[in-house]
Formats: sequence, structure tokens, C-alpha cells
Amino acid sequence: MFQNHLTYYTTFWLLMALLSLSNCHKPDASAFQENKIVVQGVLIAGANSQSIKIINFDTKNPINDAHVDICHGNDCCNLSTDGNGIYFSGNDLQIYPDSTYRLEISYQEKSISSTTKIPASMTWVSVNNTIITIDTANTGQQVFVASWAIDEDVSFLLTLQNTEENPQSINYSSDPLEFNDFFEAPQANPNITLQDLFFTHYGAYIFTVYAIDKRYEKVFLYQPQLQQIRPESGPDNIQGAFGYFTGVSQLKVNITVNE
Amino acid sequence: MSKTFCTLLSVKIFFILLFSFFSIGHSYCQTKDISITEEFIEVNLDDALQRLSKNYQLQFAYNSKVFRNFKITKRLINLSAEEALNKLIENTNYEVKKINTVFVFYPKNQSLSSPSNSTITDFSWSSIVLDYESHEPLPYASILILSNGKGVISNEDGYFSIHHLPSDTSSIIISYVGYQRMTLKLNPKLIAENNPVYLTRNSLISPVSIYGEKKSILSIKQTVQELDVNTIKTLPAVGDQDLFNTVQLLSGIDATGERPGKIHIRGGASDENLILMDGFTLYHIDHFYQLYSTINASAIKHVRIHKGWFEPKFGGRASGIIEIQGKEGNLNFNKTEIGLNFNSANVFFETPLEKSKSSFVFAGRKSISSLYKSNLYQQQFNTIYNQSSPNLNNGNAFLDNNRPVFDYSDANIKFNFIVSDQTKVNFSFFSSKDELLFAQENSSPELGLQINYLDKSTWKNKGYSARWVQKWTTNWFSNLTLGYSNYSSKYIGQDVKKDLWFNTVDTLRNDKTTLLSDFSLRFNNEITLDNHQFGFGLQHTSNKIQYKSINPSLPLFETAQQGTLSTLYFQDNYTWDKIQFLAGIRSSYYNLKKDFFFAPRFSLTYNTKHNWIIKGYYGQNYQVIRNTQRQDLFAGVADIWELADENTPSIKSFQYGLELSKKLVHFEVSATVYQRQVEGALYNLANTPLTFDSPDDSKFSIGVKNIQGLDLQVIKNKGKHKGWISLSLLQVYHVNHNIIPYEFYDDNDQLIEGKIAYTFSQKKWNFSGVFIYGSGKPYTAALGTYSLNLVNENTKKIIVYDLLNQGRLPVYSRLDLSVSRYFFIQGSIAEVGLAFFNVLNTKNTADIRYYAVGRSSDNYQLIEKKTPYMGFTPGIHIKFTF
Repeated sequence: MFQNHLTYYTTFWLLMALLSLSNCHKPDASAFQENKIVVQGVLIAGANSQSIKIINFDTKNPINDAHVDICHGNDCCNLSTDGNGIYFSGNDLQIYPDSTYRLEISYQEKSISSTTKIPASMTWVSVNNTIITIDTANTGQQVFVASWAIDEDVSFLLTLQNTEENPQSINYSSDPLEFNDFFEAPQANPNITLQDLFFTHYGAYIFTVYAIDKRYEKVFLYQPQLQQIRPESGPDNIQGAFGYFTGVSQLKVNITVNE
Repeated sequence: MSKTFCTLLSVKIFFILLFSFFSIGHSYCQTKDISITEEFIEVNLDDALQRLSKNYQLQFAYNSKVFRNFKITKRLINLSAEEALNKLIENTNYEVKKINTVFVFYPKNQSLSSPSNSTITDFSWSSIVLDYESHEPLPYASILILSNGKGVISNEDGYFSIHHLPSDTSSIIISYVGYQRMTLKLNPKLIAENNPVYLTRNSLISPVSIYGEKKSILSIKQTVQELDVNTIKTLPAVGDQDLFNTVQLLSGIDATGERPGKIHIRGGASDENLILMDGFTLYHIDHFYQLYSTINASAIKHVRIHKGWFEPKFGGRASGIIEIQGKEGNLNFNKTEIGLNFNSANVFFETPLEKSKSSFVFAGRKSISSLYKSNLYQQQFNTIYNQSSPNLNNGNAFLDNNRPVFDYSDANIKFNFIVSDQTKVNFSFFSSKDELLFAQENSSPELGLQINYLDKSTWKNKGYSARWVQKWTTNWFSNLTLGYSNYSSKYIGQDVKKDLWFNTVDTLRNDKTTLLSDFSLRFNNEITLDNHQFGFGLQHTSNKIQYKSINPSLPLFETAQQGTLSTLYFQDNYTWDKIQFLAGIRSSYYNLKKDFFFAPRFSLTYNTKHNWIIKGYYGQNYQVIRNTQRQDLFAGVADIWELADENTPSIKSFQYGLELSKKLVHFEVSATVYQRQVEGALYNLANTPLTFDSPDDSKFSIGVKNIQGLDLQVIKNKGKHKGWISLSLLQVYHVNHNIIPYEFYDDNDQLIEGKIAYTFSQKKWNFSGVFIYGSGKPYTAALGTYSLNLVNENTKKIIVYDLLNQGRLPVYSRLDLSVSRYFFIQGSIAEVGLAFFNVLNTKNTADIRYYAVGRSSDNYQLIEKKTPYMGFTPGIHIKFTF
């Protein structure tokens, strides 16, 4: 009996020795293991100042002790924090269309980086009217028609913003339309037609067209609540952290809405 | 380092448990001395023994069908049991032996009783190994010369040639899994007459089913394991007794998925296994979403499982081969079996068409869910439903007048013809069908909506084969098999939306169909010359695959592929003293990619003087067809099979390993360390919530899969307590993928898996148990969410997952128990069995999934759901054999 046991154990240890000799290996994905911080930033061509936001993923608290640079070739601009986890560039950083920019962050001896290319600049092809008069008795009129051009395959994100401090609302007989509901997702067509019901207040508006690349478009299309099983992970393009870094070019027109 | 230490500790504990487990229960009862006085006048021997059993509480093991043919007239006065039994059988060709408390009746071994002087020496002998009762050939039986330990294995048709026999009075040992080992003393008459060698299966003997001292339930070999088909019938099964349920209890085969129809051999994918049934390929091996296999245990004669390494004779798959030989039918007697359990009814019938010349076998099985939806059926359906459905909470699919029907059936038919001693022909037919009909209604009167959902899924697989077996000379055997397999998978989804306010109906329909055909030709030859056993042949497989998707709102999507794989192989198994060296090459041409594959295979076996068998092996395998998508209950997709083409690579697998084994007094132990590298491994990106940059929106990431592992198996083949313990350590990970940018664990990676299978027979009772333990398999965990500010000042709530397969599911464990009892009713045998699945009701987790619950993309909750495996489930079965 003792000999039998001895044989079992001899076999066992012999096999364990053989196993240890076989090339045990743990899949190496350490380079892709993210630091648990969230970085987000959108560089806007032609804007006065750029900003990058950094927060802790778990606590959602702002991170203010990171070193943040935005580089264009060898020229780097250091961003400074406002104490709320937002790092501003000030006026020193100019963002040009059709150029590539690099985000470099050092945080607790870890490197975080991402690169983006700003889409080309856009030009207006036509804008039918910048001064709009609303006839509340006769709604449903097409009051603003515009088209623009760009020499690149991009998508367009549209915003319409009333810039009045105390805007006066328009009393339509029917319900006004919410611009965001209709134009939340980017569109491929370089034109727009707006009827009067989209203008909910009188006064000054800025209509902005943003040219966004096809990858950033996926962020807008991300609808995990519509996926019944196993909602997908969100778009992510930052090495070493969660979040998104991109750049857009923009085209604006001022519109005035009168009674 | 700590991980390795824990592994070692676990293995050590496992072994200690192993010794404890098998150290119990060796005591057995002594039968008291009895005096028998009986008189039998013109009664058959079967009735006589039944009377003795009843009057003197004796236990017998014999073939009642054979014994009914013996009429006896005997008077027994004050005889001991041994004297009485010997007197009863004195004019038959049987002898009796007492094993523990049971008197077992064996056919007399004529050769043992006819000693003679040696007349020739150093000669060759060829014969065939047959089942004593049915005269069916027994493939891959072991034939060993007692004096020098040298031996051969019979081929797949039972034939063997053994060379350099020391003399014509040598003793040889013949053994076959599931049968009694026989020591045969040769004599000149036996050799001259070229008689077959008959082996007896104990478990076919009635009235009590016992296990003979030398009968094994499982072969010791690791790279090719043979399983006693009767073991399948004794281990716990709440529904159908299942071949693959038992196969999964072997070392190196995953058992923690609770899907016997999905076989993962040594870390391989389930489509990397070739399932060969009588020479044709099975593409749909499961019923009821893999809960059962399509192989009817009653129709099987022999099962061989090739794990990773195959002889050059076999190929076409990267991971494993499961060879299933159907029963050829009893050439002497007919036999009928009828069985019923909570899921299905089963019938088996075999009969000689012309005694000793031809036979016929039929086995059929059909689910009863369309007639009766048992608790077992409902529980199993809900388990699948909750693993697949988008419901956040575990639901009951049988509420609200929903009556999902999952109907399945299969049939095996075989004709066998013995044309001459040298020529045999058989024809085999197989058919399996699964059909799911699931209708649901969802009404929202407040919205004026009524939606009727209808999902219909159908799977069909038919197989046909014709096989010709020829013994040309005493050392040249051939077989030619023509096989055809036809598989179809169809999914029809129909949603009918009724607007109750406007009285309109909107119908959405989605049809998906896969058709696959496989024609194969296999011509195998075997020639034994001196110490060489040569094998050579050609094989040809032609596949045609069509896929069609019809959705009225989308353009018709249709694909078709056709490819052939033509193969030549040659191998030589050379034996020299204690060394056996097998070398060969398998060379194939694949027309679709115009690829030539050269697959060298080697193995070197050394038998030490202490009877340790050490085997090292190396081999390459190639595969050109794969199952890239599995039909799912609610995913709305059909099975998709694809041939390798310019978009999909062939699979190339390289493996090597070292195997040690030894037969001890009570145990057989074996262990294998192995390593495999699989090039062209696919990872289906639909299986992960992660999104990766893919230039052409590819559904798969292609790379290299590395597998390494250790399999240990301890088998106890002797005594009343039988069973085995298997332990597997496994690591499966992917590298160098084209889309997934980092190395990651495969879905089948599992650090440790241990299994215990145990059977115990006492009188007419049979008890069995299975315990399975497995460390957690990988899954991709969600880390949480964050809000991303967009350029239009909106926000998105973004879900963040960990890297692919970095998380681990909880540990899996399960204990199943069963008990069955035989009854004898007027010469027939009735068996009633109870089985309990997951006796401890362990809450095992199949997967961890996530749901984003909310109305908008900036305001939802991420909720985690553990999808459960099946809890405690009882089952009952009855079976009649007559």
C-alpha cells in the first residue's frame, strides 16, 4: 500500500515538474490596461480657448494635479487647471483646420495620450435669410435654408442657440419644435431647412455647423439603453485612460428673429 | 507564483480526496453455507435459476435469453450452491464462477480445456474479436502475448494479426472496454480453424447486472479514450441518458457548461471536433440547445475520443475526433428495449435477418413536450430562456398562455450483412430533428397595441453511409466507407403588430436558412508485416454550404460555398521490444484556396520494466470548415458554417505532449501534459460587449490560440465500487490578433476542473454519482459608467468594460445522484431509475450580463445580472428489455 502511494506521489510530482517546465504564460495586456481616470476634450478650430476635463472614474472627483499638454508637431502648449478638473489653454493655442494635434498627459507617473485630426474648414454655399420674421398666425413656414461645403468625408453636427440674456418666448398656436430632438444626431447632408417652429424665442441666434470625423460620430450614435443584452462599451480613443479626445471645425452664422 | 502554489495545493488536496474516496467500501459479504433441495422437470434453465434465486436468496449473472434455450430435468438433494449450479449446467457449454456474492455464468473457454503440445514456434496468427452474444465485431480490442507482453490492437472492424507468437500453445490476453478480459491458451486446432475470439459483456447478463472482476468501464489511454457504452446508462441523467454527458466527465473535456451537446476538448472550440458516426460527419450533435446529444445511447456499440493528437488516418479537425460506431445488430437473437422519461420516449430493436449472416437495428427517440410539458422540461427550457432572453429578471416562459414547444427526435437504422468470413457490408442511416415553436403575446391596451411574436427554429441532420469491410489476407485488411450528411438550420421570426385603435396590422418577418451537405469517401488499408503495422489510404470530403437571409425590409442576402478536401495518408506503427514508434504523414489538397497541407504525426511509446507506459507525441492538424455562428433562442440567427476562403483562414494546429500511464492493482492512472498552438483561430466579436477598431467591420478577430494543460485520470475498474476521478489544468489564450490589440484569455480557459464519476452495484440496485468542480471561466466585466460632454453640450453616459475576458465567473460545482433497480417480469427486465441533478441546489452562474435600463442615452442605469445554471432537478426513467 505504501509503495502504491509512493508511486502516486512520484507520478504526481513528476507531472507537476513537467507542467512547470511547459511554458506557462499569462496573457499580457498590461499596455492596454487603462488608468481609472476619465479624460475628455474637444478641440474647436478657431475657438479662443481650448479645454480638457479630467476626473477620477470611480469617485467622479476632479483631478487637478495632472500635467496636460496639447501638441501640434513639436510645439506643445501646457494647459492649466481651474481647480475643478478642467484644464484651459488660454489664448496661446491656435487650432487650425486640417491639422493634427496630440494630447499628452502625465498623471502619477503614468502617461496618457491621444491624437486627433481637425477636419478641414467649411464654407457657406448659401444662406437664404439671416433676419427672420415670425408670423404666429401662419406657422409651418420654411424660414431658414442653408448649405455649406467641405472637401472631406465628414459628418455635420448642428446647433441653434439663442444668445439673448432674457429672451422673449414666441407664442405659437401650436407646440414649438425642439431643435435638439431633431438634430441631436450628426447628419451627412451639407444643408438644412428650418421651419419657424424651431425658433422658440425672439432675438439673436447663432446657428453653428460642426464638421466631425466619422469616429466621433459614433459617440453620438451610442445608445446602450436600446441594446437589450450586453450593451456595448462606449467609443474610446485615449491610450491609458477612459474618455474621448477629438477636434472639430466650425462654421457659424448669426440669425435674428423678429416679431 | 502564488497562483501556481494554489494550483499545486488544490491538486494535492484533490489527490488526497481521491485516495480517501477509493479506499472505502472494500469489504464484502460472505454468503452463508446453504443446502439446496429442488426438483426441475423439463424447465428451462432461466426459470430454474430464478426459482433458486427466490428460494435461496442467491444472486446470479447470466444471459437469460441463452439460458431459456436449455431445457433441464434435474433433482438436487442437499447440495451446496456451487454443487447445485454445476449440476444444472453440466450439459451446457457454460461454467460458473462466484464473484463476491454473485454466481456468474461464463461460456466455457474451449481452448483452456484442450491443452496440447506445441507444434510450431515464432508464427503469425490472425483472427477477429467478436461479442459472444451478438457476434458483433469489437473494434480496437487489445491482444497481448502473456509471456512477453507484446501485443496489437484489433482494427475498427475487429480484425487483428499478431506476429512472432512464441508457440501455438502460447497464452494471450484479450481485453476490450466494457467486456471481461479473457486469457486464451492457443492450440493448433484453434489456429488451424481460424476461429473468432469471443468476449462476454457482463452487463448484458441478467437477472442482475454486475461488473466482472476484469471488466473495465474506461480505457486508461489519454490521447485516445474508449468508453464503455454501458457506463453512459448507469451515470445520473434526469432526462435522456446521454453519450456526451458521460464523455464530458473525462479529463480534458469541459463539463462545467451544462451543455452535453457542446464538446470542448482540451481547450478547443466545439466546431474543432469531428463527430463521425458510422463514417459520416454529424454537424448537429445536440438536441434542445445542447442539453442532450443527438446520439441515442442505445444505438451505440463503441465510442473513441481522440484528444488533440490523432493518427494520420484521422484528420479534418483541429481539436478532437469522436468516433461513434453504431450497433450492427445481434446476429443470433432479437432484443427490444422501450424507455420513457420526463422528456422523451425511446425504442430500440435489433434482430438477425438471417441467423449469423445479417442483422437489423432500429433505435428511435422522440421528445414528449408536445404532449406533456413536464416540470423537468419547463425547468430546462426556462434555464435556456433566461440564459438567452433579454429579460432583466429571470422569467418563466410558461406564463400568460405561452406554451413554448421544443420537439426533438432522432432515429438510427442499420443493416449488417456478413457476406463471408472475409467480407462484410453494412448500411447506416441517421436522422435528427429539433423544432422550437415559441409564440408570445404582448398587449398594451392603454397604447392600443397588441404584438404577437412567433419564433420558429428548425434543425435537421441526416446521415447515410455504406461500408464495405474486406479481409484480403491474414495480414491485409481494407474498408471503404461512403458517407453523406445533410444539415439544415432555419430560423423564422415573425412579429405581428396590431394597432387596436386604427385597426391596422403590420407584419415583420425574418427568415434565415443554412444548408450544408457533406459527401465523404474513406478508403483505409492496414497491412501488418513483421513488426510493422502499415496504414494507408485516401479520403475525400466535398462540402457545399448555402446561406440565405430574407427580410422584406432589406435586400436578399445569399451566399454559397463549395469546396473539396482530398487526402492521402500513410503511417507505420513499428514495434521493437518495449518501444513502439508511430510515424506518418497526412497530405491534403484543398481546392477552394488551392492549399496543400502536409501534416506529419509521430508518437513514441516506451513500456518500462515496471510497466509504466511513457508516450510522447507530436502532430499537426488542419481544418477548413467551421461553425462561425450558433443559432440562438432570441438572437434571431441561424447556424452559420463557413469554408476557409480568401476572407477566412484555415485552422492549423500544432500539438505535442507527454503521457504517462500505469495499471496498478486497484487503479489505473494516467497523466498527460500537452501544448497546442492553433493558427487561424477566430474570436467572434459578437460575443463581447467591447468595440474594437475594425477596418471593414469584420465580425471576427483572427489570431493564434495557445493551449497548454495537464490531464490526470485515475480509474477504478475493479470491485463493486467503480468510477474515475479526472483532473484537468488548462490555460487557453489568444495572441497576435488582427483586431483585438492585446493578448486575452479564451472563453474556454479554466485553471482547474475536477470530476468524479462513481457507480456502485448491489444485488438488483445500481447507485451512481457525479461530482463536478470547476474554477471560474472568463467573462468581460463592466467597470461602470461616466458622462461624456459632447460638442453640442449634450451628454452621453458611457459604459466602460474591463479588457476582454479579464473577469472570472464564480466557481462551478455540482453533485448529481441516481439510483435504479431491476425487476424481472416473465423473462423481461424492467428498470426504474431516479436521478437528481444538482442535489445540493448550488447556484452556479452561466454568465454575467449587463443591462442599460432607462429611456435616454444620458440617463440610464447599468444593472448586472447573473444568468443561472439549472438548480435541483429530479428525473425518473423506466425501461423494459425483452
